[in-house]
Amino acid sequence: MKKDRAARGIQRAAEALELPGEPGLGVPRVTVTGGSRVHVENHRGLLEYGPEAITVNAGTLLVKVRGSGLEIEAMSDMELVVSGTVRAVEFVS
Amino acid sequence: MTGLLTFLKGSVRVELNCRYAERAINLCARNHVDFTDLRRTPEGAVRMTVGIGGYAALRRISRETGAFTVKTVRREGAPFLLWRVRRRYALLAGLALCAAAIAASTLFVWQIDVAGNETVPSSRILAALREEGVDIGAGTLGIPRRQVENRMLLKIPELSFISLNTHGSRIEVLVREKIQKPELYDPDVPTSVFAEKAGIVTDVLALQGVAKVKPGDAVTAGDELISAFVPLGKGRLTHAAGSVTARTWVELSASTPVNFRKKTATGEKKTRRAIILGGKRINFYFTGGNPYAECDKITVYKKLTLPGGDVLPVTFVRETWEEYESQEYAVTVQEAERILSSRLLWELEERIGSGSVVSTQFETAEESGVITVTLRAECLEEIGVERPLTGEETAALRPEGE
Repeated sequence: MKKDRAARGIQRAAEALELPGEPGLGVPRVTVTGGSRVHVENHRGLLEYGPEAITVNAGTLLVKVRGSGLEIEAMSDMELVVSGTVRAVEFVS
Repeated sequence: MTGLLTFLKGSVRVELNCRYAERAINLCARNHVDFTDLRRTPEGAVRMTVGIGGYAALRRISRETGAFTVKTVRREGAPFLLWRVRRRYALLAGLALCAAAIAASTLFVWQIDVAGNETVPSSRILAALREEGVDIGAGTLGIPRRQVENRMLLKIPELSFISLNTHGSRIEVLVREKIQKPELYDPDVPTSVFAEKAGIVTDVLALQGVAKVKPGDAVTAGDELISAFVPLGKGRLTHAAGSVTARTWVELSASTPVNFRKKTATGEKKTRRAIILGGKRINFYFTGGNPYAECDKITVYKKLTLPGGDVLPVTFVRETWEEYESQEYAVTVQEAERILSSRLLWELEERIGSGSVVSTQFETAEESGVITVTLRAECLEEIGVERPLTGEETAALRPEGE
């Protein structure tokens, strides 16, 4: 609880100073390229992995990639790349 | 480049059999096992490609957690290749020798690139470098860069800066040329404006000095147009300046033979290959000379370069011989007139520079198998050029008592 409050405080300070939030706070960054590639940075693991949907735990929210023929092209402990035909990217908080 | 690095580092395609694929994937990510190309199999397992370190980590995670079992599908890359041939000593020795030869070859200069020169030819810079001991085949380690750079600046005074940068076996020579000092206007040097060519003056604008001609005057090359002598009081000499425009007449001619041979490609071609190792050429063909009676030869040289730009002393040569047939072709007068007229007009524009063409007239003549086109053009151009007066000319004009 205390940690969440501190994180919110830092996030508010970063917003006030117009600083990018992702380096210090672990805020996810999602980059969609041409409807066939989704790059998620600062993830916390996979929750669902299937050819029609891939759900990524991004800490404060869930990132759900919907489409067909979805695959994980590459993954490390910080980032992952989803490829295939992407129809939607949803944010579930 | 990425593919080459992956090959050098080695990779393993593994199959993870597990109940929940997500759990296995998260375990990989949490334990810093980076993977690529994740695919599901119809049986519910997942396949991924990991590095050699990642493969060992996967085995360890499998043993410790029991979350999945690891099955090796395929091993690829240099480490596995070397492991497979570990008992073939001659092959390993050959590989080691090859690697040593490549490493040793990067200690010598195999390519010199000159960049930044506009008026000083690269051949002159390369020749000066050769005199300083920087040449193809020279060792890269023993080049006294600073000394060579300083000596080069003394040898080629047109250069203001030179820098020798070594990239493995390639030397990049960056140069900057001096900006030439513009011709300064010296008001104390008595100078008159003279006619560069003959014509009829149409316009005179004397900024300094006294105009000696007026519109309508005919002048010949060398005539004084604006005089340096100003007859005020006792008179004085000045640096005359101004512009004099005149109608000029230009006559240009160009010729072409009526009959010449025209090339037509037959489509037949032969390719020969060779390799140049250091300075020695090894041909991969036995019969030399022209393979056809009439042919064009196109030679392509391709230097072997390592990823990263290091040039090796190996050049691949491809010679392509393309056969053609030459046939007697007679050009018509109209055709010759069209080609030669456009060439003459282009030459005329080059010659008059910023001037303009008032009218043109072409005349075609054919004599003993040669077609000649003559262009007579009337132009409007600047004919005045400044020239300092000679000692005698100055003495003749100098006012008395000076």
